Amino acid sequence: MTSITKTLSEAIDRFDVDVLDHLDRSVSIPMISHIGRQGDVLILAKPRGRKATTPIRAGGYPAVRGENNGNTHLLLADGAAWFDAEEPSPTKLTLGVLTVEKGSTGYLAHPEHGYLAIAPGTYELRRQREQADVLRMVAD
Amino acid sequence: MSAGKLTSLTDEQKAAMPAYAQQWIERGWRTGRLTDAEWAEWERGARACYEFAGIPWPGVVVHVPSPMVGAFAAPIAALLIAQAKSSRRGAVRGAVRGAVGDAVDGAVDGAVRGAVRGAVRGAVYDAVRDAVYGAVYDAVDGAVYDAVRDAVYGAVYDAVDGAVRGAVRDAVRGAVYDAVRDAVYGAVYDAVRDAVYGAVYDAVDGAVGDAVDGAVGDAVYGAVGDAVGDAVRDAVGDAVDGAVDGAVKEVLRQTWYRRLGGHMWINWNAYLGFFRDHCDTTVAEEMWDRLSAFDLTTSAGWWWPHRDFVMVADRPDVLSLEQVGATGWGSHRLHADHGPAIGWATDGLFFWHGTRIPADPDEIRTWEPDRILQERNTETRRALIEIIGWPRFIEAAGLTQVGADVPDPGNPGQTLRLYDIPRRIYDAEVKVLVCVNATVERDGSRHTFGITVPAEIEDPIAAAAWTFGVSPDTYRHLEAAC
Repeated sequence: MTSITKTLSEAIDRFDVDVLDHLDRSVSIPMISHIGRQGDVLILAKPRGRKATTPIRAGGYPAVRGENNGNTHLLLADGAAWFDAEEPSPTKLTLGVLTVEKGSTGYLAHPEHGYLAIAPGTYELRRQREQADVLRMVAD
Repeated sequence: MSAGKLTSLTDEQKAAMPAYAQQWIERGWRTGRLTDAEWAEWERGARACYEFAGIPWPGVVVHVPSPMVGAFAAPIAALLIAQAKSSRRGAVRGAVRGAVGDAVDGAVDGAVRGAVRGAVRGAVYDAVRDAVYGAVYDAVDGAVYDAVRDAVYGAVYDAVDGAVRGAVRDAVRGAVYDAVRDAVYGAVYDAVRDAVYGAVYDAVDGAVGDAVDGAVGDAVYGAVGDAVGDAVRDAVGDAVDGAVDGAVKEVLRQTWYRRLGGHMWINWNAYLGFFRDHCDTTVAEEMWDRLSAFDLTTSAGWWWPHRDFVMVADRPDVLSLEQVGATGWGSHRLHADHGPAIGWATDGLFFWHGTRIPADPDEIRTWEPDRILQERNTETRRALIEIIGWPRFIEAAGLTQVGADVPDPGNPGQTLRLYDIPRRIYDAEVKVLVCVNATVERDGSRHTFGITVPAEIEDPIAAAAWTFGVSPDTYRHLEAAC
């Protein structure tokens, strides 16, 4: 891994997106390049997949918006990254396609889960489901 | 084939449908009590509906806090008024005191009484006041008891007929909704109607009508059913009291549903309104005036049009829904993690992913798992298990683990465990995967939670992979979880 990892406090300073205060600010943020998970969201590399084309703006993009905006999984870009959102359903869990430009780093931030760093590449973001009376998506 | 029928929709009209539906959905979802100005607008609409129906405006509008209160208060008020009008004044004290008190609990009870008094006072105050507060037992006591019992019984049932006739829902609905619908049907081809129905009606129905009104209707129907059930009737020992009580129950049974839906039936307004607002049809302008008057009544909740009074429920204070499907029928259902999913000043209803539950989820979280196993309805029981959490429940119910603990990929030090769930406990063919969060809580502990997966899965990794719709091999290579 050639990308430089940030600590949690550095990422919070960089993006001005805070997380719960009991999370350790000094730890390095884990970086994934193949597959990672943040709560009920999975990030899966799709090296041969179609690249996303919608730029992630400075304030980030809420890949999953929690109730009352409390538990949003927010996509952020240090450099250039794109995200094409899709409407997920219990049978098609895809939240969208994420592309992180070479030399850039993507981040997924969540108040309770902290930050997850995403190396350059193209990924699919997926939601979690469970088998209840009907298939339904998990909200953490 | 009649001249001038609308035969097709333009691309612009088709494109306008989703936003049009959404606008009505937002209106159907509005919360917070109506202001005086909003009530005045509501009344203007309701009054116009009476005029279109050719029924004199009663001039007595009783606001009730919730549909539950109205479903009890409107029939009972109608009964008391009919009773007073038939000048057989005895035997009604128990109407308010007995049946209402037994049928609904604390806060609702008080509100029902208030609403009944409001309606009665406005309509025929002097005539009925004595009847309300007079004493059944003064008139019918001791020695004369048997002799008058049958007479009282007869008088009460005459009043039931009067009360049922006094409910003019069908007439009002016929003059506004049915009339407009027939006019639209006469002016628009089936295929066009179907298209609008599919895109507008279904969208609003899925988000408001079926999702909210359906659930509230079931709850009120259940409460009324409990109140008029044979068990309750049989439990009334006193024959005279029984006659009065029986009359109240009969009127409740026959008239609680003679309502119009207000914001909860807004799908109809959206469907017919689309032709008014976006299409050029031969529907007479006067029909649109009728629909517009009807639209004004969608600012509030259910309403009960009667000859002598109009009772109308306020909007809910709280409304919490989750989207579970694409726009259309079945898109939304009631759900709240804390407190009522729909709540009014006097009462509220608790829902867990669309399943009605008997108490606030926060209260259920304090229940012992044994109490949850005693819940007889399996759908309700499943909701309760989810609320108290699988880890607590698994231990209490002694569920059998399938296979061994396996390390959770990307989550060092934590394991995944899979448990079998016997059919006698749960109504779906599932297993439960127990996971531990990668992130610590404020107190240093880690949140442990269960996710249900299809029963045929035998391996914890395969179960976790299934929840994200990826292969077990892919999931095994998870680099990091947080």
